Amino acid sequence: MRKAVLGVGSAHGDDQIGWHLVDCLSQLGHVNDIEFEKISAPGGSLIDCFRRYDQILLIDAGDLGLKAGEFSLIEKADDYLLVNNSQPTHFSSHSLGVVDAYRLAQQLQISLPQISLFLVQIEHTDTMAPISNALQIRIADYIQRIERFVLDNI
Amino acid sequence: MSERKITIDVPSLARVEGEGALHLKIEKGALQHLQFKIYEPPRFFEKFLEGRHYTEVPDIVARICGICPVAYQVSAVNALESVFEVQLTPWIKQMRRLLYCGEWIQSHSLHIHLLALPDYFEEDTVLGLAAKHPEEVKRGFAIQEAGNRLIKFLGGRSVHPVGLQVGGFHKAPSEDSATELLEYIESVLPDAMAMAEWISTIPLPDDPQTFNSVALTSLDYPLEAGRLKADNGLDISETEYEYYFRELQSPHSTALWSLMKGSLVTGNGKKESPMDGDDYLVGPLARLNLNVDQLPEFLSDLLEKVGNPFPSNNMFHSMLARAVEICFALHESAEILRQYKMPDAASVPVKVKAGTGCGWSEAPRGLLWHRYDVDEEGIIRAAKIVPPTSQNQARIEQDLMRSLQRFGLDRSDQELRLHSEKVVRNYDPCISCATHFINLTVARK
Repeated sequence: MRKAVLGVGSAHGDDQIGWHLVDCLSQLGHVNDIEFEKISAPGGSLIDCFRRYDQILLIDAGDLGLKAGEFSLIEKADDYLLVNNSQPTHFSSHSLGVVDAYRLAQQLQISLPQISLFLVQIEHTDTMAPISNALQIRIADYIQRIERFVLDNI
Repeated sequence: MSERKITIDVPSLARVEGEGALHLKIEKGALQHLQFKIYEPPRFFEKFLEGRHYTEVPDIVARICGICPVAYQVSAVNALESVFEVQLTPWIKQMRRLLYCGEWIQSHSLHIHLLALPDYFEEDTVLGLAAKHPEEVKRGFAIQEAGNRLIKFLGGRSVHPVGLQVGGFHKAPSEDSATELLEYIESVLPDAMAMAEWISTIPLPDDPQTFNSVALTSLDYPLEAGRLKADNGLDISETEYEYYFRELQSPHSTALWSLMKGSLVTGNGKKESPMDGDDYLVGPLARLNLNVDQLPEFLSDLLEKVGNPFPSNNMFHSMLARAVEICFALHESAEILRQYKMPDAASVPVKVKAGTGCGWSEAPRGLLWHRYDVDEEGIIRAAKIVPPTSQNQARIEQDLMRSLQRFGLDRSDQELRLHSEKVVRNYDPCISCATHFINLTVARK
């Protein structure tokens, strides 16, 4: 059974958080049977990426309507991805973000693995800017929460 | 004549590879200002290559593009092998062609189904298209998968493959894996033919334009090698490329533009370029315009069924050109795989020597030219890369100017915007590739 933590992101502002957390988690080294992967603007290839694994925790930044830096951990992606609308940005190749890729797979009856989501509320996604302070100060919290989730559920 | 003032800003073009924008200003019914703007940060790959050993080059240049890494690798090894005077075996040459077929299939299929087709069904994304035509979109993914499998077969993985080296390949795949791959390719080929026929039924704008098609040509349909030809008789080798084409910086683009040059004094004396200062077209339509007769007999029925518009002066035939090239690449792959045998060696020895070498190939989006200066230790001292999107930039702006006027500048802003985006997508621009380099001038006081 292949299990993965996937960080989706780009080099722009808080959109880097998925990559950054995957880097931090992969360096901890005590979740040996979990694979870590950083993905850049995957577009349609996200479906192929999903299908490589049996269980996935996907980390991404988004505008969730929360306070900057707050996060949402969703055990079953269906609960979120099929009821929320996406706002494609130029960070999503082919105008296909995570929500769209998931819905496309559903629409085409492509079977997907069990996917959980760790979503972080962005403050900004300024071009080539660093991660904002609102997220920086919570990185330890994010890692602790993700670690616990991975150990209990994946 | 309309008196309205229209400014259309598309700050971020959707469904293209990379980050670009479009600005239009129309006053009193005339286009006053039009810019296809590339603002993605430059990536400095040529500078990264300086000081690197030649063996590192294929893996470094592959990172320029996630969609066409094979094209970068093949153009690079072609250039470096010309410096070292490497004689490749027939097996290596065939496998390079097979690997390249994989990239065309993968890239073209992605472009048709995810980027271009939604426009023709008045949908913003492939999601809407999939709601209307789920089987066609699913078929597109199956065709794309054939490309992924071909790249993985020789490259070790489907994204940023690592199988290629100067002198050949790192490893030869097994005959069993070739047989398995052949089965999949043969199963998908009829789907691809059906896809091409379906695309030929989609109504297209009638938008004839005058442009120069530039592409490689060879005895077989050109992929990984050939001589460069243009509509009006230009016929040159890779070492002559810089005599006939020049790059320049345009203030609104982080990517260099490329234009045809005028007359020049070359090593062989004065030569006249027939297209001084002109924009030109590279890519699938240019390839088919110059090479339709090189397609295998197998595709003649298909060409007849799709109404064979090639050579065509309508850029909107680009999508059909990609579909035809997918069929060609699948057929070519099957032919090569049917004869697949394990070689005695997957590479030939390379004897390093100093020199300058040029190489090119036909990336999915068009001609991709490389030049390297190498020292006696095999260290890269200078590199120059001219990707297809850089070469198409000037043509895209010219096309937009003419196409929008033909379309009608009195149309609604939304119609003008959508038409502009369709025109740009015909070129399948890969902006990340094009921003590989920028001239940097530092003024210090």
